[in-house]
Amino acid sequence: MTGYLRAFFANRTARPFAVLVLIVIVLGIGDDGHGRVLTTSTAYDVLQQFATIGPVALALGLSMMVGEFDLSVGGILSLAGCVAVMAGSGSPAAGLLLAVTVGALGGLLQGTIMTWLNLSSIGVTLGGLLTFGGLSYFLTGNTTIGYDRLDVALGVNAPLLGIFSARSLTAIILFLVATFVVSWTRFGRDLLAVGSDRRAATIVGIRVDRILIAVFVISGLLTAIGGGLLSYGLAAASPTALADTLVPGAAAAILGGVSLSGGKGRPIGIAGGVLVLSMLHSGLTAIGVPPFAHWIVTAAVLFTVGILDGEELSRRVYSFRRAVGQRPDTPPPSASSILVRQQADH
Amino acid sequence: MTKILSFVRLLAAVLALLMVGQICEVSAAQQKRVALLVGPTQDRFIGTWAKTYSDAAAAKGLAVTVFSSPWDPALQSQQIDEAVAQKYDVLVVQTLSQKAVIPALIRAKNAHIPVITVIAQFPKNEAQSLYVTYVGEDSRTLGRLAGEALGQALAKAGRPNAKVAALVGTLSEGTGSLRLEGFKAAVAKYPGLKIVVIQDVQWNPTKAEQAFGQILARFGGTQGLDAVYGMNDTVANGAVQAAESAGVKLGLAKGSLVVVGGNCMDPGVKNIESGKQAATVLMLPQVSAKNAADATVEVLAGKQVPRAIYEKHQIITKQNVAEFAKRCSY
Repeated sequence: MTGYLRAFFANRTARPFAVLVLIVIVLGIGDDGHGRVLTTSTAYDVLQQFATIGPVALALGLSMMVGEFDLSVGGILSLAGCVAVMAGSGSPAAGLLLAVTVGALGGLLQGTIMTWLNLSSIGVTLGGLLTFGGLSYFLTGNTTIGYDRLDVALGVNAPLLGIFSARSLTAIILFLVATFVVSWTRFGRDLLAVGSDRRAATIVGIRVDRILIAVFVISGLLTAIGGGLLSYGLAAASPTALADTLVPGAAAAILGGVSLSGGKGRPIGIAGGVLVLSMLHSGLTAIGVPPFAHWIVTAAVLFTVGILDGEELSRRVYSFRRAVGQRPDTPPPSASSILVRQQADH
Repeated sequence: MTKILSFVRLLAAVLALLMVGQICEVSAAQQKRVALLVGPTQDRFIGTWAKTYSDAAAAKGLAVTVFSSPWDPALQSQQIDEAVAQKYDVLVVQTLSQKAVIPALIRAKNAHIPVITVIAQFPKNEAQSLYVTYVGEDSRTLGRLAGEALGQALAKAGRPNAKVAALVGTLSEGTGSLRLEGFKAAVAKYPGLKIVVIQDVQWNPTKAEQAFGQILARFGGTQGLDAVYGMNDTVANGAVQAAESAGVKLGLAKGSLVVVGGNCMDPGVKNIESGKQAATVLMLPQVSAKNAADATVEVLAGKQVPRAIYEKHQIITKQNVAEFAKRCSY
């Protein structure tokens, strides 16, 4: 039994879902029979947060999977919102399309600069963050602009089938497509190869530059979809961020098993990470935990996962048990064999 | 060994989460439940407001839950939806964005939950049907009084022709732009006064200090700049500090910089006492929070309340600062 559990926990993609189940169980206990946690309104609420954080977490996660980091998501989120709202009063679809084009172009520009000049993504995307933020200031003239289509605003968030909305369904579809692309296409395989070992990828003939540029284009595209729909839902666009998504997005990607050093993680895992964060937030609100405690609990979960993830943990436990005289039958696996196994998992 | 390790992992995770369950508060069922949705309570003004409100409402038998958001309108919208789903009896909302909050307020209205807006006004009286009443500052009046205080101070000092800088709060939302509107209108009544620069420092004292240092450099000390309006006293204090480090004299005398602030906060009181600041305008979180608690009780009792409950603002100068020093130091 525990052997299965161990294998499950060692699988980085499955782990966030295990944590999710655990959180639901514990919240259920904390609820103390009031029936506040397992309700359709909590599920709807969780999915609404999923719609806000999800696309950004996926964008960040994909950039992390190739061993880079796209800091520009905050800027693109604002800019896409402004473009969508300003261009979308006649046709919301046209506004969103324009916003997505702007997001993808932003990613293309950054990816090209990075690969062409061989620069680090942190520097370039930090520049992108400031540039796109500045562009939104310029576009809006530093005011929050309202979206006159309140029908669209209420429509994108209106409950569908009880727990979904147009916005959350879009996010779910984005994750499904990303999962398919990463796991079943040559592009996905190349992407992971570039993230695992860039030199080796070059040697086996992968066009690393193209993969990197593509990832940043996709990142801009995903963020712009999220940002456009977020602004539609709030009926507003602002040069100052309407939502803080960078920190929860990165936290979700890490919870979801993506490694900052690249090559590890899957979109489904990231989805699990986003669900963990959203479930924690909604569940804690539902059982009446004051909001200031939310981040403490979230941090505790992040730390727990991070510590359990440490390769040194099992070795420390092993030496401790040796020191107290209980000799375990087998020594723990070495760091390198863990690496091999994790790669085999994928 | 592996069994024990995985067991320890599981146990650690379960324990961490169980502690959470312990924090959970269950309110008595018969109490009326109020959801108070505000900006970051670490902010001294908002913190004092929320605490005064919660205490006053609790004294009247209401159960208040505070939802605080770090200036994140999307989170606030989500929090309103959550409060609606949990069927709170009334929502008391400091709208962080007067535009982005509208869809969530429509959903609250559709769920027949009354909303009281506080602290920040809707700039053009829009969304009238979405809330019962507004309790808080009258932003235009606050700006107007600051403009009058500035005009009066300069006139009294015999400097009717003066160039004025304004360090303003976030212009993209209501409060900052409304106060600026009032300030401009008041300044326009003094023909010799001219606003030469308006800088958006987003209520941030550090940004104010930095920006004002640059403004002073641009206008060559006080040669080209006579006065500055800091939209609240921490912002005005940023200007005071920038002027001091640039070696610019502060005060009413010719060649010195005249500073006017707002809100009546601790640094403003100190600067007025020491003569570095000419005036501020009274606006106390304790007063509007108390008014809001009273209004909440009346709304819950189904009584008619006025559309807007403003607190009284007044100019504070060296003459009357002693009277308010204690209340302004929250």
